[in-house]
Order: sequence, then structure tokens, then C-alpha cells
Amino acid sequence: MGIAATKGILAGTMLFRRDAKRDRFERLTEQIFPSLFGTALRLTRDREEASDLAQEAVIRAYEAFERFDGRNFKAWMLRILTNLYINKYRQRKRAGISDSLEDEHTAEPVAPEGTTPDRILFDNLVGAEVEEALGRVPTDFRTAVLLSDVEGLTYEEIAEATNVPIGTVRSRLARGRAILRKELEQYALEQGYIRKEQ
Amino acid sequence: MSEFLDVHALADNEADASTAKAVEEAMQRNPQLRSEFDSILLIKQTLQGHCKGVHCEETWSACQDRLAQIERSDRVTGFVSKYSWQLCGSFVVLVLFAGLWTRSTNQSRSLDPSQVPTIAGFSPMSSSTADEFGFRKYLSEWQLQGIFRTNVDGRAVWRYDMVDGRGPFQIFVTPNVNHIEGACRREVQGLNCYSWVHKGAQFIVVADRDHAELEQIAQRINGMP
Repeated sequence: MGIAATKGILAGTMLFRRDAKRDRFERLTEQIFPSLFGTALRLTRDREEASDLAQEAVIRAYEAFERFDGRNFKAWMLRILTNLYINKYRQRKRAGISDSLEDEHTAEPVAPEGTTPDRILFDNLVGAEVEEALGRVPTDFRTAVLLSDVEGLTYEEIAEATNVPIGTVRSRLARGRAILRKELEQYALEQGYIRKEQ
Repeated sequence: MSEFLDVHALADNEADASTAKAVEEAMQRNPQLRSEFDSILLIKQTLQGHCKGVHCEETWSACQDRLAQIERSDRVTGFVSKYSWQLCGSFVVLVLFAGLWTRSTNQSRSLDPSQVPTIAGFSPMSSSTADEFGFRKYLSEWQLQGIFRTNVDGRAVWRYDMVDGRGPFQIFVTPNVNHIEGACRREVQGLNCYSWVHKGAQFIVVADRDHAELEQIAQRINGMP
């Protein structure tokens, strides 16, 4: 019997066969992992914490892979990651650390009258500044903005990921974008990209 | 407030047809709403353009390692739970085989004469029924004083306490031995002993005599029918 035949027999046995489930899961996860890790990093704003969060999300997802409905894998993974983050965030909130705003149903215009024209503001920004401004948006609003504008999830998917009604997602998005724009404007003023009278 | 939220919904492609139409009309009437819509689109573009992918090879590699560990553990757990009865059965069979092999190996191995003084636990036997080798019958010139039996490493060992004109001597017999390991003539604790194999059994004769006399005893025994 040749070596190839022996290997074939070994590969065919239960102990030596590479799991098809893991193969499929790894293929799918590898494609969306930069998004997953990016979201984790933008939520936690700490590389080590983001790495732990992303790994935990991958493990949880692998264990629950049989329950994946086969529709949108990225949304499903982001849902697991966001849920994990929210649970941790809630623990921190209980411990008295919170950066969320109380009245999240208050919508405000993103571009109120008399503010800097958008083109002047946005054209001068670079990636690090945008990330910095995004990091200053309170967690709940940042999560909604990230999932919608960076990762392209639908309102329904964001509602599932964050365990809130769609109405809350809508108001969080509006509020989050308004805060983000203010932060970007403030940053541009500090850096001298724009002047107050612009 | 609702109008603003509808503008966001339109920018996000989440508004249904009637809402979208109503918002479009409202934006034509209200430049502030149009400006809001443009601003939302610019924020979305900015975020998509600036929030680039993050270097994550190390974390992905760590994830793969953890997945491999989980898979290995799942495979072993699955294999053990699926074949638990077979594994237990194989283990029992293995133990039985090992026992039988050890037993058969020990049984065919000869007794080392140096072991003789350390053999303990001899039980006296009734000399009329236990004289398997016929010493009483064929060697009537020797006086048989007692027959004892014990087990050494799972093997039966008989001891015959004899007396002849020269004094006492002992014969140890171990059945099922075909060859002897080591020398035939030995001295153990000040006594000479002579060991040999005859008719599938090992004999050791021990006495305070020289080896030539012990050999004569051996020849006498070998001469038995």
C-alpha cells in the first residue's frame, strides 16, 4: 500500500479529517475580518481590547455557526461583536464609566444654519482626524454611525445588532452624525483648516 | 424632528417610496433640508473614505490558532464519545493480552537459583497426593520429609525436603521450563546448588555438599522412569 493511500485512509478517519465546518467558517470570516477588527477597534479605541473582542466574537460565532441563517455573514458577525461589546460596555456602565448621552431620542440637524460649509470642512480632513473625531462620539451613537456609514448595515441589522428598536437606531444615527460633524468642525478650527467667520 | 429623520432615511436608502417622494418635495421647498441631506451624504462619504481597513494579520492568525484548538478538542471529544465502548473494550482486551503474555512468559522462564532462599509462603502438601514427580515411588532410598508448594511470579514451585545417608537436601521443581538461564552450578548463601532441566521441568537441588555430589543426585533423578 502506498504512502498516498495510507494518507488517504488517515484523512478519511474521524480523528484526522479537517472539519468542513471550520473550512467554511474560516473562508467566510477571513473575507470580513478587516471590517470586524476595524469595528472592534473603533468601538473600543484600544488595539489590545479590540483584538480580544474580535477574537471572542470569532470564537462565539464559530460555536454558533450552525445557527447562521446563510444571509448576510458580515452583518451576523458584526451583530455578535456589537452584542459582546455592548455587554462589556454595560458592565463598565454599571461600574460608573459611561460616555453615552441621556436623551438619545433628541434629533438635531447635522448641518445647522451658520455652520462651516461642508466642502471646506471635509476636504481638509485626513483619516486620523476623522477617526479621532469619531472616537469622541459617545458609544451608542458611535456604534450606530459605524455600523451604518462604515460597514453599510441596514437599520434592521443595526437594530438587531444593538438590541434596540429601529426608531432608536434612526435617532441615534441622526444624533451621532450631528455630534460627529461638530467634532470635525471643532477639530478643523483647532487645526486652523477653517476660521470662525467661514 | 421626523422630517430630519426622514432625510437621514433617504440618505441611507431606508425610506419607502412615499416617504422618499415626500422628502424630495420638502427638500425642494426647504433649502435647509437639502443642505442637511448633502451634509449627511458627505459624512457618509467621508467615513467610508477615511475609515480604512486596519492591519489585523496577527489577530486573524490568533483567531485561526484558537479555531484550530477548538476543532482539535471537538474532534477528540467527538471521537471519544462516539467510540467510547470500543475504546473501553480495546483497553480491556489489551490488559487481558498483557496479563496473558506476562503469565506465559513467566511460566516458561526458569527459576534463578539465587531466588531460592527468598522464596516464601510454601504451604505443606499431603505427601501421598502431591508427589507429582514420583520421588517417593522411585527414589525409595531417600527419605521424603515433606512436600511444599508455592507460587513465584505466577509459577508453581514445589519443594521436596529429603534426607539421605549424607544428610538433608532440598529439591526445588518448577514445571514447564525448557531451558535454563545462567550457570548450572551455583553457590547461594553458603550452600551449593545445581540446576538442570529434565522432561520439561527445572530442578534445583540445594545442599551443604560439593557440586559433584549434587550432580549425582541429579543423575539419580534423571534416571527415574
